[in-house]
Amino acid sequence: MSNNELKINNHNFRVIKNSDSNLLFHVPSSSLFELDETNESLINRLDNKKIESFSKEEIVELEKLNIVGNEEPFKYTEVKNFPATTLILNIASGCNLSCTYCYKADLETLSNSGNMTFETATQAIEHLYEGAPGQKLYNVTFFGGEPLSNFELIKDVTIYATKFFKEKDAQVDFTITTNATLLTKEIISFLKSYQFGITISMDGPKAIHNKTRLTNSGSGSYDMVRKKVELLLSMYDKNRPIGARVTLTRGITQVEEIWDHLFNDLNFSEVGFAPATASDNAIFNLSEKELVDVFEGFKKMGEAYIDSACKGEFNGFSNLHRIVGDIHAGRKKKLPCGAGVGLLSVSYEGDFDLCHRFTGSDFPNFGNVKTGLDKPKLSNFIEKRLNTNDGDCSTCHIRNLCAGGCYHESYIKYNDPSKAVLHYCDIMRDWIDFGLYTYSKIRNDNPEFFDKYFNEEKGDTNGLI
Amino acid sequence: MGLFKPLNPKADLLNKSIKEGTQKEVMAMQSIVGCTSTFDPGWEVDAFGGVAGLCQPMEADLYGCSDPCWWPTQIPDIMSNSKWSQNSPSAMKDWKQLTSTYPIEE
Repeated sequence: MSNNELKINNHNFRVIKNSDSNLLFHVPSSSLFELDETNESLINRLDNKKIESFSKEEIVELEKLNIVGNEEPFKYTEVKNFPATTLILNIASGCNLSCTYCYKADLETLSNSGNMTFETATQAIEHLYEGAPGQKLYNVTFFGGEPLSNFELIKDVTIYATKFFKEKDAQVDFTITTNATLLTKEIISFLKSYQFGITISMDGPKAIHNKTRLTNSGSGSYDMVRKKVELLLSMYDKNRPIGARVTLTRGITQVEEIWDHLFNDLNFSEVGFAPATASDNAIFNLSEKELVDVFEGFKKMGEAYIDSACKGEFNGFSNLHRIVGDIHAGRKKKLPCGAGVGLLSVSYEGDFDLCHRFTGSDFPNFGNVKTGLDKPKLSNFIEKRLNTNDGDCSTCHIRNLCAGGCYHESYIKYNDPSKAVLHYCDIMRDWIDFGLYTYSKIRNDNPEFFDKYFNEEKGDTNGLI
Repeated sequence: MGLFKPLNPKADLLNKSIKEGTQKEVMAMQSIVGCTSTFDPGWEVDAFGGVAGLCQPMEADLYGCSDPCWWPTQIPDIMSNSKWSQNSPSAMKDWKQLTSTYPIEE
């Protein structure tokens, strides 16, 4: 590099071109800017790398932004604290549905009804508090199997946790994911009185839902689920939104139709989609073409999300809403999720796992409720992932929003959760670009939307690590 | 006012910090914890939509066929043999303990 040539750091900025305005995403800070014509010419001048094409002021600012010039040397990040405030209790092994794409979620035998004991649950709660004392808010999530098949334990643990955290001057928030089939008036009243956040697993209108979500006798569960959902929504508190969670499997790409049914006919507050990512020979995967179709559907839904947002409304499309929230908060993630740091999962035997997906897998656990959390082991794991500096992600412009993807996916794909997930990077980059475009549209047309729908969310641990 | 027009609050903060020379602090801000933006492939199938890489080993299915029965696999009759699996609390570790079952003698 000669003396009059600039060092351009292409991995620190990205230009997103749209029909109405072009955007600049500043990667090191997750800042989003709008480019006017003067800016466009400035960005174009970067291509020739000549110092003399820029004014002194421009160079100074570009250097400060790390768009040109030398960068800070890499510093190793240590992780010694684990301020987890979310606990996932895998309380039940059984399920009363036979969804075709499901796996068994626990290893208990009948002699213990496949259920977590009250003692294990309370020990886990005590550990959670000891690991992160003095916080304002804690979250306990009930998971299974079908957690409502162990409703007695939910009741006992909820009452215990409420009292426990009250004595510590803290709040506790309860959440549950259920297939809705076991809901009764009594259960709904209980969940309502403790302000449970509820997510219902449901895959769409009758014909689609009944393809995969079957009862034990092999018939579709739609009619039963719908009846229960209607009962739940009629009884539940309007200020505690209830969301639907949809799994998209082979042959199912009708994103808009599914959303329309769940949001408009059944009145769920939010609809989140989980596409099964593809492998060549899996029975339930979306094929490559189907995955592309799904994302086309997502973008259509995204345009509808923008239209609603510009009117000050939220149309329930949570996949995009979450990304827009990240952009609004200017989040930068060094780790893909809170597993092991912000949340802990406890198996029926009381073992601590990174998250519910590792519960029961061959991947080693990190201590248990009797002996406590194995912090050195967890430190090693998290630091390995955190300090992979020369990896595949270092030049990617969405590296601070994606942070390499899910540990469990890497574990399955590469047998190493410390690697990044690389099998759908292009789709993710395109999707985040769409998120940035969405943000700019709403910002320019209805900036009040952000104040209304994005309060400070829990889960950020600035300064704790 | 910096070179570029800020859209999100972070961009606004960054512009201000450049004037004050504190941009490094703004760039260092990060939340370690958050939900990943990559798609959760679902809790019910593995990352590739199949069953080869489940969070739970397939042996677990055996117990799923008793009590809350959901998987079409044959298991001992739990009406007359409710303790058929009592010697192997974990299918993954103790499957060898699962042998034949016999009618219980009154």
